Amino acid sequence: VSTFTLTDAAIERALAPDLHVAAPNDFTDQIAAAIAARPGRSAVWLLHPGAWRRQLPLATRMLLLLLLLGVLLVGAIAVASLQHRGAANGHVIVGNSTELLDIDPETGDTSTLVTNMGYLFAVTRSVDGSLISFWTSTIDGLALQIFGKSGGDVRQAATNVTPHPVGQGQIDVFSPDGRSLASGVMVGREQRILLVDIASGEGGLIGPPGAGNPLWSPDGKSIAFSWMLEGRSVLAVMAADGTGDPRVISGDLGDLDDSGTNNFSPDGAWVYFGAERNDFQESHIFRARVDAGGSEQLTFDMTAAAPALSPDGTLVAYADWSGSIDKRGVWIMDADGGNQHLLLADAANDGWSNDGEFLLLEWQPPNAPHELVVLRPDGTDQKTLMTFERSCADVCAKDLGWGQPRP
Amino acid sequence: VNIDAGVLAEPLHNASLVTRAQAGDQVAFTRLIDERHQQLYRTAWAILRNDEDALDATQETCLGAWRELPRLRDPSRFDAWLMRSLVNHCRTALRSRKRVSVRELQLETSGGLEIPSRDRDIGESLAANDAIRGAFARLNAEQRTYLVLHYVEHRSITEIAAIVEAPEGTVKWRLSEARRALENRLARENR
Repeated sequence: VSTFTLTDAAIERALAPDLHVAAPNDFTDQIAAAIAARPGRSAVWLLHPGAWRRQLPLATRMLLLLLLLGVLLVGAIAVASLQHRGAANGHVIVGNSTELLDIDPETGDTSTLVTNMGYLFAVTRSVDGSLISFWTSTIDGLALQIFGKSGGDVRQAATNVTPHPVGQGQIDVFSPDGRSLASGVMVGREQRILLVDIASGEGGLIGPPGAGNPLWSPDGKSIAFSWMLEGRSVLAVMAADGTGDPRVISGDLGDLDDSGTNNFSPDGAWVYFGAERNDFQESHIFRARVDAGGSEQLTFDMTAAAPALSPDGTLVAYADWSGSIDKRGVWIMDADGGNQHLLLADAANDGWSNDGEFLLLEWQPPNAPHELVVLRPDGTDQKTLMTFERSCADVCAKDLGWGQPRP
Repeated sequence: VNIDAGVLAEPLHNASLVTRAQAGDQVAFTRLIDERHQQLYRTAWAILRNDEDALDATQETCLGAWRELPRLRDPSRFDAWLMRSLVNHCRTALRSRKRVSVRELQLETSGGLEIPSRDRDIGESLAANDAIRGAFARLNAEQRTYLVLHYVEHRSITEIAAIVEAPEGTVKWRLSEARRALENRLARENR
Protein backbone atom coordinates (compact mmCIF):
# COMPACT_ATOMS: atom_id res chain seq x y z
CA VAL A 1 0.00 0.00 0.00
CA SER A 2 1.37 3.36 -0.96
CA THR A 3 1.29 6.16 1.52
CA PHE A 4 2.06 9.75 0.81
CA THR A 5 3.48 12.72 2.56
CA LEU A 6 1.78 15.82 1.25
CA THR A 7 3.52 19.13 1.65
CA ASP A 8 1.53 22.33 2.01
CA ALA A 9 3.16 23.61 -1.16
CA ALA A 10 2.11 20.54 -3.11
CA ILE A 11 -1.51 20.98 -2.10
CA GLU A 12 -1.44 24.64 -3.02
CA ARG A 13 0.27 23.95 -6.33
CA ALA A 14 -2.30 21.35 -7.27
CA LEU A 15 -5.40 23.16 -6.10
CA ALA A 16 -4.71 26.83 -6.77
CA PRO A 17 -6.49 28.10 -9.87
CA ASP A 18 -4.30 28.85 -12.85
CA LEU A 19 -3.59 32.49 -13.56
CA HIS A 20 -6.08 32.53 -16.41
CA VAL A 21 -8.95 31.66 -14.07
CA ALA A 22 -10.88 34.90 -13.72
CA ALA A 23 -14.42 36.15 -13.59
CA PRO A 24 -15.76 37.80 -16.75
CA ASN A 25 -14.72 41.42 -17.25
CA ASP A 26 -18.32 42.58 -17.11
CA PHE A 27 -19.11 40.68 -13.92
CA THR A 28 -19.68 43.78 -11.81
CA ASP A 29 -21.80 45.35 -14.53
CA GLN A 30 -23.97 42.24 -14.61
CA ILE A 31 -24.43 42.34 -10.84
CA ALA A 32 -25.26 46.04 -10.95
CA ALA A 33 -27.84 45.43 -13.65
CA ALA A 34 -29.33 42.51 -11.77
CA ILE A 35 -29.81 44.36 -8.50
CA ALA A 36 -31.27 47.32 -10.34
CA ALA A 37 -33.76 45.05 -12.04
CA ARG A 38 -34.71 42.86 -9.12
CA PRO A 39 -37.30 43.77 -6.53
CA GLY A 40 -34.60 42.65 -4.17
CA ARG A 41 -34.76 42.99 -0.46
CA SER A 42 -38.38 42.41 0.44
CA ALA A 43 -37.74 39.60 2.90
CA VAL A 44 -35.06 41.61 4.58
CA TRP A 45 -37.13 44.73 4.89
CA LEU A 46 -39.79 42.66 6.53
CA LEU A 47 -37.41 41.45 9.19
CA HIS A 48 -35.96 44.82 10.05
CA PRO A 49 -38.56 47.54 10.21
CA GLY A 50 -36.20 50.46 10.11
CA ALA A 51 -35.06 49.43 6.71
CA TRP A 52 -38.39 50.20 5.15
CA ARG A 53 -37.42 53.81 5.09
CA ARG A 54 -34.00 53.55 3.50
CA GLN A 55 -34.34 53.05 -0.13
CA LEU A 56 -32.56 52.55 -3.37
CA PRO A 57 -32.07 55.47 -5.67
CA LEU A 58 -29.91 55.76 -8.78
CA ALA A 59 -31.37 54.73 -12.11
CA THR A 60 -32.91 57.63 -13.91
CA ARG A 61 -35.84 55.60 -15.04
CA MET A 62 -36.53 54.69 -11.47
CA LEU A 63 -36.57 58.33 -10.50
CA LEU A 64 -39.09 58.99 -13.21
CA LEU A 65 -41.14 56.12 -11.90
CA LEU A 66 -40.85 57.48 -8.38
CA LEU A 67 -42.13 60.83 -9.47
CA LEU A 68 -45.09 59.13 -11.05
CA LEU A 69 -45.68 57.10 -7.92
CA GLY A 70 -45.45 60.25 -5.86
CA VAL A 71 -48.26 61.77 -7.84
CA LEU A 72 -50.28 58.60 -7.42
CA LEU A 73 -49.54 58.59 -3.70
CA VAL A 74 -50.81 62.10 -3.27
CA GLY A 75 -54.01 61.23 -5.04
CA ALA A 76 -54.47 57.96 -3.21
CA ILE A 77 -53.83 59.43 0.19
CA ALA A 78 -56.17 62.28 -0.56
CA VAL A 79 -58.91 59.82 -1.43
CA ALA A 80 -58.15 57.68 1.58
CA SER A 81 -58.13 60.67 3.85
CA LEU A 82 -61.58 61.60 2.72
CA GLN A 83 -62.69 58.11 3.61
CA HIS A 84 -61.03 58.33 7.00
CA ARG A 85 -61.60 61.96 7.78
CA GLY A 86 -61.40 62.54 11.46
CA ALA A 87 -58.42 60.29 12.02
CA ALA A 88 -55.92 62.79 13.36
CA ASN A 89 -52.83 61.17 12.01
CA GLY A 90 -51.09 64.27 10.75
CA HIS A 91 -48.99 64.63 7.68
CA VAL A 92 -46.92 61.90 6.18
CA ILE A 93 -43.32 62.49 5.23
CA VAL A 94 -42.38 60.45 2.21
CA GLY A 95 -38.84 60.26 0.98
CA ASN A 96 -38.15 59.19 -2.57
CA SER A 97 -34.38 58.98 -2.05
CA THR A 98 -33.63 62.40 -3.52
CA GLU A 99 -36.22 64.57 -1.82
CA LEU A 100 -38.49 64.66 1.18
CA LEU A 101 -42.15 65.36 0.54
CA ASP A 102 -44.72 66.48 3.09
CA ILE A 103 -48.16 65.14 2.28
CA ASP A 104 -51.32 66.24 4.02
CA PRO A 105 -53.58 63.19 3.91
CA GLU A 106 -56.61 65.34 4.56
CA THR A 107 -56.21 67.59 1.53
CA GLY A 108 -53.61 65.83 -0.57
CA ASP A 109 -51.50 68.98 -0.55
CA THR A 110 -47.87 68.16 -1.12
CA SER A 111 -44.81 70.26 -0.58
CA THR A 112 -41.14 69.57 -1.06
CA LEU A 113 -39.23 69.85 2.19
CA VAL A 114 -35.72 68.95 1.10
CA THR A 115 -34.07 68.40 -2.23
CA ASN A 116 -30.62 68.52 -3.84
CA MET A 117 -28.84 67.03 -0.86
CA GLY A 118 -27.77 63.74 -2.38
CA TYR A 119 -29.22 60.42 -1.40
CA LEU A 120 -31.56 60.74 1.58
CA PHE A 121 -32.52 57.97 3.97
CA ALA A 122 -33.57 57.18 7.54
CA VAL A 123 -36.18 59.87 8.07
CA THR A 124 -37.28 60.41 11.67
CA ARG A 125 -39.58 62.94 13.26
CA SER A 126 -39.78 64.30 16.75
CA VAL A 127 -42.80 63.35 18.80
CA ASP A 128 -44.54 66.68 18.17
CA GLY A 129 -43.59 66.60 14.52
CA SER A 130 -41.71 69.89 14.68
CA LEU A 131 -38.27 68.44 13.92
CA ILE A 132 -37.17 66.07 11.22
CA SER A 133 -33.86 64.28 10.99
CA PHE A 134 -32.47 62.30 8.13
CA TRP A 135 -29.19 61.03 6.76
CA THR A 136 -27.55 62.09 3.52
CA SER A 137 -25.06 60.19 1.45
CA THR A 138 -22.95 62.16 -1.00
CA ILE A 139 -19.55 61.83 -2.55
CA ASP A 140 -18.24 63.62 0.52
CA GLY A 141 -19.60 61.00 2.85
CA LEU A 142 -22.46 60.51 5.25
CA ALA A 143 -24.03 63.19 7.41
CA LEU A 144 -26.83 63.48 9.92
CA GLN A 145 -29.12 66.42 9.17
CA ILE A 146 -31.81 68.10 11.25
CA PHE A 147 -34.31 70.74 10.30
CA GLY A 148 -37.45 72.30 11.66
CA LYS A 149 -40.71 71.35 10.08
CA SER A 150 -41.87 74.94 10.31
CA GLY A 151 -39.07 76.15 8.11
CA GLY A 152 -35.44 77.15 8.31
CA ASP A 153 -32.25 75.76 6.95
CA VAL A 154 -31.19 72.19 7.30
CA ARG A 155 -28.53 71.90 9.98
CA GLN A 156 -25.80 69.36 9.79
CA ALA A 157 -25.69 67.59 13.13
CA ALA A 158 -22.80 65.28 12.48
CA THR A 159 -20.43 64.42 9.68
CA ASN A 160 -17.90 61.67 9.18
CA VAL A 161 -20.19 59.46 11.17
CA THR A 162 -21.48 56.16 9.94
CA PRO A 163 -25.05 55.36 10.96
CA HIS A 164 -25.54 51.94 12.35
CA PRO A 165 -27.13 49.53 12.25
CA VAL A 166 -28.89 50.25 9.03
CA GLY A 167 -31.80 47.97 8.49
CA GLN A 168 -32.12 46.82 12.06
CA GLY A 169 -34.45 49.18 13.78
CA GLN A 170 -34.30 52.86 14.37
CA ILE A 171 -31.13 54.77 13.63
CA ASP A 172 -32.29 58.04 15.15
CA VAL A 173 -34.85 58.77 17.82
CA PHE A 174 -35.85 62.10 19.27
CA SER A 175 -36.33 62.43 22.99
CA PRO A 176 -39.97 62.88 24.06
CA ASP A 177 -39.33 66.58 24.73
CA GLY A 178 -37.75 67.03 21.31
CA ARG A 179 -34.58 68.51 22.76
CA SER A 180 -32.22 65.67 21.99
CA LEU A 181 -31.60 63.19 19.25
CA ALA A 182 -30.02 59.80 19.85
CA SER A 183 -28.46 57.96 16.94
CA GLY A 184 -26.85 54.60 16.47
CA VAL A 185 -23.48 55.14 14.81
CA MET A 186 -20.26 53.32 14.11
CA VAL A 187 -17.08 54.72 15.58
CA GLY A 188 -14.22 52.76 14.19
CA ARG A 189 -15.38 49.20 14.45
CA GLU A 190 -17.72 49.67 17.36
CA GLN A 191 -21.33 50.66 17.41
CA ARG A 192 -22.04 53.56 19.73
CA ILE A 193 -24.88 55.90 20.59
CA LEU A 194 -24.46 59.54 19.62
CA LEU A 195 -26.49 62.07 21.60
CA VAL A 196 -27.03 65.49 20.03
CA ASP A 197 -28.49 68.49 21.81
CA ILE A 198 -30.78 70.09 19.25
CA ALA A 199 -30.53 73.65 20.50
CA SER A 200 -26.80 73.91 20.96
CA GLY A 201 -25.65 71.38 18.45
CA GLU A 202 -23.35 69.87 21.03
CA GLY A 203 -22.94 66.16 20.64
CA GLY A 204 -21.12 63.28 22.19
CA LEU A 205 -21.05 59.56 22.59
CA ILE A 206 -22.93 58.07 25.49
CA GLY A 207 -23.25 54.63 26.95
CA PRO A 208 -20.93 51.69 26.61
CA PRO A 209 -19.09 50.57 23.49
CA GLY A 210 -21.27 48.20 21.50
CA ALA A 211 -24.49 50.13 22.19
CA GLY A 212 -26.92 50.78 19.34
CA ASN A 213 -30.63 50.97 18.46
CA PRO A 214 -31.44 53.67 21.01
CA LEU A 215 -35.06 53.98 22.15
CA TRP A 216 -36.24 56.66 24.59
CA SER A 217 -38.52 55.73 27.44
CA PRO A 218 -41.85 57.58 27.44
CA ASP A 219 -40.75 59.77 30.36
CA GLY A 220 -37.49 60.61 28.66
CA LYS A 221 -35.42 59.52 31.64
CA SER A 222 -33.83 56.42 30.21
CA ILE A 223 -32.78 54.88 26.94
CA ALA A 224 -33.19 51.25 25.99
CA PHE A 225 -30.65 49.94 23.55
CA SER A 226 -29.17 46.88 21.93
CA TRP A 227 -25.80 46.02 23.35
CA MET A 228 -23.17 43.80 21.80
CA LEU A 229 -21.85 42.06 24.87
CA GLU A 230 -19.32 39.27 24.54
CA GLY A 231 -20.40 38.53 21.02
CA ARG A 232 -24.11 38.42 21.77
CA SER A 233 -26.71 41.12 21.32
CA VAL A 234 -28.73 41.82 24.46
CA LEU A 235 -31.26 44.44 25.46
CA ALA A 236 -30.23 46.97 28.11
CA VAL A 237 -31.29 50.29 29.61
CA MET A 238 -29.30 53.24 30.89
CA ALA A 239 -29.90 56.77 32.07
CA ALA A 240 -30.80 59.12 29.24
CA ASP A 241 -27.52 61.00 29.61
CA GLY A 242 -25.56 57.78 29.49
CA THR A 243 -24.26 58.04 33.03
CA GLY A 244 -24.15 55.13 35.41
CA ASP A 245 -23.87 51.48 34.60
CA PRO A 246 -26.16 50.05 31.94
CA ARG A 247 -28.46 47.27 33.04
CA VAL A 248 -29.26 44.22 30.91
CA ILE A 249 -32.99 43.57 30.92
CA SER A 250 -33.49 40.96 28.22
CA GLY A 251 -32.56 38.07 30.51
CA ASP A 252 -31.88 34.63 29.06
CA LEU A 253 -32.81 34.50 25.39
CA GLY A 254 -31.29 31.07 24.80
CA ASP A 255 -29.44 31.09 21.51
CA LEU A 256 -31.35 34.10 20.23
CA ASP A 257 -29.94 37.60 19.87
CA ASP A 258 -31.87 40.79 20.34
CA SER A 259 -32.51 42.21 16.88
CA GLY A 260 -33.21 45.78 17.91
CA THR A 261 -35.37 47.76 20.27
CA ASN A 262 -38.83 48.32 18.93
CA ASN A 263 -41.26 49.88 21.37
CA PHE A 264 -41.63 50.97 24.96
CA SER A 265 -45.07 50.33 26.36
CA PRO A 266 -46.82 53.65 27.08
CA ASP A 267 -46.31 53.18 30.83
CA GLY A 268 -42.62 52.49 30.35
CA ALA A 269 -42.86 49.11 32.05
CA TRP A 270 -42.00 46.94 29.05
CA VAL A 271 -39.81 47.04 25.98
CA TYR A 272 -41.08 44.98 23.07
CA PHE A 273 -38.43 43.57 20.81
CA GLY A 274 -37.61 40.81 18.38
CA ALA A 275 -34.90 38.23 18.87
CA GLU A 276 -33.47 35.92 16.28
CA ARG A 277 -31.04 33.10 15.93
CA ASN A 278 -27.84 33.82 14.10
CA ASP A 279 -28.93 31.82 11.07
CA PHE A 280 -32.29 33.63 10.98
CA GLN A 281 -34.15 30.32 11.00
CA GLU A 282 -35.85 31.19 14.26
CA SER A 283 -37.22 34.50 15.43
CA HIS A 284 -39.71 35.43 18.12
CA ILE A 285 -41.30 38.42 19.77
CA PHE A 286 -40.38 39.14 23.38
CA ARG A 287 -41.11 41.80 25.92
CA ALA A 288 -38.64 42.69 28.63
CA ARG A 289 -39.46 44.02 32.07
CA VAL A 290 -37.71 47.33 32.43
CA ASP A 291 -37.55 47.41 36.22
CA ALA A 292 -37.05 43.81 37.22
CA GLY A 293 -35.37 42.54 34.08
CA GLY A 294 -36.13 39.29 32.28
CA SER A 295 -38.19 38.67 29.19
CA GLU A 296 -41.45 37.02 28.32
CA GLN A 297 -41.57 35.18 25.03
CA LEU A 298 -44.80 36.06 23.27
CA THR A 299 -44.63 34.04 20.04
CA PHE A 300 -43.55 30.43 19.68
CA ASP A 301 -44.69 28.59 16.58
CA MET A 302 -43.74 30.99 13.87
CA THR A 303 -40.96 33.15 12.56
CA ALA A 304 -42.13 36.38 14.07
CA ALA A 305 -40.42 39.75 13.93
CA ALA A 306 -40.89 43.51 13.89
CA PRO A 307 -43.34 44.02 16.76
CA ALA A 308 -45.25 47.27 16.62
CA LEU A 309 -47.15 48.23 19.74
CA SER A 310 -50.34 50.18 19.28
CA PRO A 311 -50.22 53.73 20.65
CA ASP A 312 -52.42 52.75 23.60
CA GLY A 313 -50.24 49.73 24.32
CA THR A 314 -53.01 47.14 24.06
CA LEU A 315 -52.18 45.40 20.79
CA VAL A 316 -49.04 44.24 19.02
CA ALA A 317 -48.86 43.94 15.27
CA TYR A 318 -46.02 41.81 14.03
CA ALA A 319 -44.75 40.10 10.95
CA ASP A 320 -44.35 36.44 10.21
CA TRP A 321 -42.39 35.20 7.27
CA SER A 322 -42.53 31.48 7.92
CA GLY A 323 -41.95 29.52 4.78
CA SER A 324 -41.58 31.31 1.53
CA ILE A 325 -41.74 35.03 1.15
CA ASP A 326 -45.11 34.67 -0.55
CA LYS A 327 -46.62 33.18 2.61
CA ARG A 328 -45.78 35.95 4.96
CA GLY A 329 -48.39 37.91 6.76
CA VAL A 330 -49.16 40.44 9.42
CA TRP A 331 -50.44 39.07 12.71
CA ILE A 332 -51.88 40.78 15.70
CA MET A 333 -52.03 39.84 19.36
CA ASP A 334 -52.83 41.29 22.73
CA ALA A 335 -50.01 43.03 24.53
CA ASP A 336 -49.52 39.97 26.76
CA GLY A 337 -49.28 37.61 23.79
CA GLY A 338 -52.86 36.36 23.90
CA ASN A 339 -55.33 36.09 21.05
CA GLN A 340 -52.80 35.72 18.27
CA HIS A 341 -54.40 35.74 14.86
CA LEU A 342 -53.63 36.53 11.28
CA LEU A 343 -54.69 40.00 10.26
CA LEU A 344 -53.72 39.99 6.59
CA ALA A 345 -51.85 37.35 4.62
CA ASP A 346 -49.16 38.25 2.14
CA ALA A 347 -48.55 41.53 3.88
CA ALA A 348 -45.84 43.39 5.73
CA ASN A 349 -46.37 45.78 8.57
CA ASP A 350 -45.59 49.48 8.32
CA GLY A 351 -46.96 50.59 11.68
CA TRP A 352 -49.89 52.16 13.41
CA SER A 353 -51.65 55.40 12.74
CA ASN A 354 -51.15 57.90 15.50
CA ASP A 355 -54.69 57.50 16.74
CA GLY A 356 -54.37 53.72 16.78
CA GLU A 357 -57.40 53.31 14.56
CA PHE A 358 -55.54 51.92 11.58
CA LEU A 359 -52.54 49.90 10.57
CA LEU A 360 -50.58 50.77 7.48
CA LEU A 361 -49.56 47.65 5.60
CA GLU A 362 -47.90 46.69 2.39
CA TRP A 363 -50.13 44.05 0.85
CA GLN A 364 -48.49 41.71 -1.61
CA PRO A 365 -51.16 39.41 -3.02
CA PRO A 366 -49.73 36.66 -5.23
CA ASN A 367 -49.50 37.48 -8.91
CA ALA A 368 -50.91 40.96 -8.40
CA PRO A 369 -49.50 44.41 -7.94
CA HIS A 370 -48.52 45.38 -4.42
CA GLU A 371 -50.67 47.84 -2.55
CA LEU A 372 -50.16 50.20 0.32
CA VAL A 373 -53.29 49.72 2.40
CA VAL A 374 -54.80 50.73 5.70
CA LEU A 375 -57.17 48.62 7.71
CA ARG A 376 -58.46 48.49 11.21
CA PRO A 377 -56.94 46.06 13.70
CA ASP A 378 -60.16 44.03 13.57
CA GLY A 379 -59.57 43.50 9.86
CA THR A 380 -62.31 45.76 8.59
CA ASP A 381 -62.27 48.87 6.43
CA GLN A 382 -59.37 47.87 4.24
CA LYS A 383 -58.57 50.73 1.90
CA THR A 384 -55.93 50.98 -0.78
CA LEU A 385 -53.77 54.09 -0.67
CA MET A 386 -51.63 53.33 -3.64
CA THR A 387 -50.63 50.53 -5.96
CA PHE A 388 -47.16 49.77 -7.16
CA GLU A 389 -45.57 47.11 -9.29
CA ARG A 390 -42.72 46.30 -6.96
CA SER A 391 -41.98 46.27 -3.28
CA CYS A 392 -42.57 49.55 -1.55
CA ALA A 393 -39.26 48.93 0.13
CA ASP A 394 -37.60 49.68 -3.18
CA VAL A 395 -39.44 52.82 -4.09
CA CYS A 396 -40.55 54.78 -1.07
CA ALA A 397 -39.29 55.86 2.32
CA LYS A 398 -41.88 56.71 4.91
CA ASP A 399 -41.37 58.41 8.21
CA LEU A 400 -43.49 55.94 10.07
CA GLY A 401 -41.76 55.12 13.28
CA TRP A 402 -43.04 51.71 14.32
CA GLY A 403 -45.11 52.83 17.21
CA GLN A 404 -43.32 56.09 17.70
CA PRO A 405 -46.01 58.71 18.24
CA ARG A 406 -46.36 61.12 15.41
CA PRO A 407 -48.57 64.13 14.87
CA VAL B 1 -23.28 72.34 15.47
CA ASN B 2 -20.24 71.11 17.27
CA ILE B 3 -19.69 67.42 17.03
CA ASP B 4 -16.26 66.29 18.07
CA ALA B 5 -15.03 65.21 14.70
CA GLY B 6 -11.80 64.06 16.24
CA VAL B 7 -13.64 61.39 18.11
CA LEU B 8 -16.07 60.49 15.43
CA ALA B 9 -14.01 60.96 12.31
CA GLU B 10 -14.01 57.88 10.17
CA PRO B 11 -12.83 57.72 6.56
CA LEU B 12 -15.00 56.21 3.90
CA HIS B 13 -13.49 52.81 4.41
CA ASN B 14 -15.13 49.52 3.77
CA ALA B 15 -17.38 49.67 6.79
CA SER B 16 -18.77 52.94 5.53
CA LEU B 17 -19.29 51.51 2.07
CA VAL B 18 -21.02 48.54 3.61
CA THR B 19 -23.26 50.81 5.64
CA ARG B 20 -24.15 52.82 2.59
CA ALA B 21 -24.89 49.63 0.71
CA GLN B 22 -27.06 48.47 3.60
CA ALA B 23 -29.00 51.67 3.24
CA GLY B 24 -29.67 50.88 -0.40
CA ASP B 25 -26.78 52.67 -2.09
CA GLN B 26 -26.24 50.51 -5.16
CA VAL B 27 -23.11 52.39 -6.17
CA ALA B 28 -21.48 51.60 -2.86
CA PHE B 29 -22.45 47.96 -3.18
CA THR B 30 -21.11 47.77 -6.72
CA ARG B 31 -17.83 49.19 -5.52
CA LEU B 32 -17.62 46.59 -2.79
CA ILE B 33 -18.24 43.81 -5.27
CA ASP B 34 -15.88 45.24 -7.85
CA GLU B 35 -13.04 45.02 -5.36
CA ARG B 36 -13.81 41.46 -4.37
CA HIS B 37 -15.37 39.49 -7.18
CA GLN B 38 -12.14 38.14 -8.65
CA GLN B 39 -11.05 36.70 -5.34
CA LEU B 40 -14.50 35.26 -4.78
CA TYR B 41 -14.49 33.69 -8.22
CA ARG B 42 -11.07 32.14 -7.80
CA THR B 43 -12.00 30.73 -4.41
CA ALA B 44 -15.17 29.28 -5.86
CA TRP B 45 -13.23 27.84 -8.75
CA ALA B 46 -10.71 26.26 -6.42
CA ILE B 47 -13.50 24.50 -4.56
CA LEU B 48 -15.74 23.62 -7.51
CA ARG B 49 -13.07 23.12 -10.19
CA ASN B 50 -15.00 24.43 -13.18
CA ASP B 51 -15.83 27.80 -14.70
CA GLU B 52 -19.59 27.52 -14.92
CA ASP B 53 -20.20 26.45 -11.35
CA ALA B 54 -17.72 28.99 -10.04
CA LEU B 55 -19.46 31.77 -11.91
CA ASP B 56 -22.87 30.64 -10.70
CA ALA B 57 -21.70 30.52 -7.10
CA THR B 58 -20.05 33.93 -7.32
CA GLN B 59 -23.09 35.54 -8.91
CA GLU B 60 -25.46 34.02 -6.40
CA THR B 61 -23.21 35.12 -3.58
CA CYS B 62 -23.17 38.72 -4.79
CA LEU B 63 -26.89 38.90 -5.45
CA GLY B 64 -27.61 37.23 -2.15
CA ALA B 65 -25.33 39.69 -0.42
CA TRP B 66 -27.36 42.57 -1.81
CA ARG B 67 -30.57 41.04 -0.51
CA GLU B 68 -29.26 40.04 2.89
CA LEU B 69 -26.92 42.93 3.61
CA PRO B 70 -29.29 44.78 5.95
CA ARG B 71 -29.08 41.78 8.28
CA LEU B 72 -25.34 42.14 8.73
CA ARG B 73 -24.87 43.53 12.21
CA ASP B 74 -21.22 44.48 12.02
CA PRO B 75 -20.09 46.09 8.75
CA SER B 76 -16.46 45.38 9.62
CA ARG B 77 -17.22 41.68 9.25
CA PHE B 78 -18.45 42.07 5.70
CA ASP B 79 -15.59 40.15 4.12
CA ALA B 80 -15.94 37.13 6.37
CA TRP B 81 -19.70 37.26 5.93
CA LEU B 82 -19.36 37.41 2.14
CA MET B 83 -16.87 34.55 2.07
CA ARG B 84 -19.16 32.48 4.28
CA SER B 85 -21.94 33.02 1.80
CA LEU B 86 -19.69 31.96 -1.07
CA VAL B 87 -18.61 28.84 0.75
CA ASN B 88 -22.23 27.94 1.42
CA HIS B 89 -23.12 28.40 -2.22
CA CYS B 90 -20.21 26.20 -3.20
CA ARG B 91 -21.37 23.52 -0.78
CA THR B 92 -24.87 23.71 -2.18
CA ALA B 93 -23.54 23.40 -5.69
CA LEU B 94 -21.48 20.37 -4.81
CA ARG B 95 -24.36 18.65 -3.09
CA SER B 96 -26.99 19.37 -5.69
CA ARG B 97 -25.23 18.96 -9.01
CA LYS B 98 -24.58 15.40 -9.92
CA ARG B 99 -22.67 16.45 -12.98
CA VAL B 100 -19.86 17.44 -10.68
CA SER B 101 -19.29 13.84 -9.77
CA VAL B 102 -19.18 12.95 -13.45
CA ARG B 103 -16.37 15.39 -13.89
CA GLU B 104 -14.65 13.96 -10.88
CA LEU B 105 -14.69 10.50 -12.35
CA GLN B 106 -13.18 11.83 -15.53
CA LEU B 107 -10.34 13.30 -13.60
CA GLU B 108 -9.54 10.02 -12.00
CA THR B 109 -9.38 7.90 -15.10
CA SER B 110 -6.13 9.43 -16.30
CA GLY B 111 -4.36 6.29 -15.03
CA GLY B 112 -0.73 5.38 -15.11
CA LEU B 113 0.24 7.76 -12.37
CA GLU B 114 3.62 7.47 -10.86
CA ILE B 115 3.04 8.43 -7.30
CA PRO B 116 6.19 9.36 -5.48
CA SER B 117 7.08 7.45 -2.38
CA ARG B 118 6.62 8.61 1.21
CA ASP B 119 9.84 10.56 1.37
CA ARG B 120 9.42 12.54 -1.83
CA ASP B 121 7.35 15.60 -2.47
CA ILE B 122 4.28 14.42 -4.24
CA GLY B 123 3.88 17.79 -5.90
CA GLU B 124 6.99 17.49 -7.99
CA SER B 125 5.29 16.26 -11.12
CA LEU B 126 2.26 17.17 -13.15
CA ALA B 127 1.00 13.67 -12.60
CA ALA B 128 1.18 14.25 -8.90
CA ASN B 129 -0.86 17.41 -9.34
CA ASP B 130 -3.47 15.42 -11.20
CA ALA B 131 -3.47 12.82 -8.48
CA ILE B 132 -4.05 15.41 -5.80
CA ARG B 133 -6.81 17.02 -7.84
CA GLY B 134 -8.43 13.67 -8.41
CA ALA B 135 -8.34 12.88 -4.72
CA PHE B 136 -9.60 16.36 -3.90
CA ALA B 137 -12.55 15.81 -6.24
CA ARG B 138 -13.54 12.82 -4.11
CA LEU B 139 -13.75 14.86 -0.94
CA ASN B 140 -16.96 16.24 0.42
CA ALA B 141 -17.88 19.91 0.27
CA GLU B 142 -16.72 20.71 3.77
CA GLN B 143 -13.36 19.07 3.33
CA ARG B 144 -12.78 20.89 0.07
CA THR B 145 -13.68 24.17 1.66
CA TYR B 146 -11.26 23.81 4.54
CA LEU B 147 -8.39 22.78 2.29
CA VAL B 148 -8.92 25.64 -0.13
CA LEU B 149 -9.31 28.28 2.54
CA HIS B 150 -6.17 27.18 4.33
CA TYR B 151 -3.77 25.90 1.68
CA VAL B 152 -4.85 27.97 -1.30
CA GLU B 153 -6.19 31.13 0.31
CA HIS B 154 -3.62 30.98 3.12
CA ARG B 155 -6.23 32.00 5.65
CA SER B 156 -5.41 31.59 9.29
CA ILE B 157 -7.35 29.36 11.64
CA THR B 158 -8.88 32.49 13.15
CA GLU B 159 -10.03 33.73 9.76
CA ILE B 160 -11.49 30.38 8.80
CA ALA B 161 -13.28 30.21 12.13
CA ALA B 162 -14.88 33.56 11.36
CA ILE B 163 -15.94 32.39 7.92
CA VAL B 164 -17.43 29.06 8.91
CA GLU B 165 -18.63 30.34 12.27
CA ALA B 166 -17.01 27.58 14.26
CA PRO B 167 -14.63 27.60 17.21
CA GLU B 168 -10.96 27.63 16.32
CA GLY B 169 -10.48 24.24 17.91
CA THR B 170 -13.16 22.81 15.68
CA VAL B 171 -11.56 24.39 12.64
CA LYS B 172 -8.19 22.85 13.49
CA TRP B 173 -9.76 19.44 13.88
CA ARG B 174 -11.76 19.66 10.67
CA LEU B 175 -8.79 20.94 8.73
CA SER B 176 -6.74 18.08 10.03
CA GLU B 177 -9.47 15.64 9.08
CA ALA B 178 -9.73 17.14 5.61
CA ARG B 179 -6.03 16.77 5.04
CA ARG B 180 -6.09 13.22 6.34
CA ALA B 181 -8.98 12.48 4.01
CA LEU B 182 -6.98 13.81 1.10
CA GLU B 183 -4.03 11.63 2.02
CA ASN B 184 -6.23 8.58 2.41
CA ARG B 185 -7.85 9.22 -0.96
CA LEU B 186 -4.47 9.46 -2.58
CA ALA B 187 -3.39 6.26 -0.97
CA ARG B 188 -6.59 4.44 -1.89
CA GLU B 189 -6.46 5.52 -5.51
CA ASN B 190 -2.96 4.22 -5.95
CA ARG B 191 -3.03 0.85 -4.33
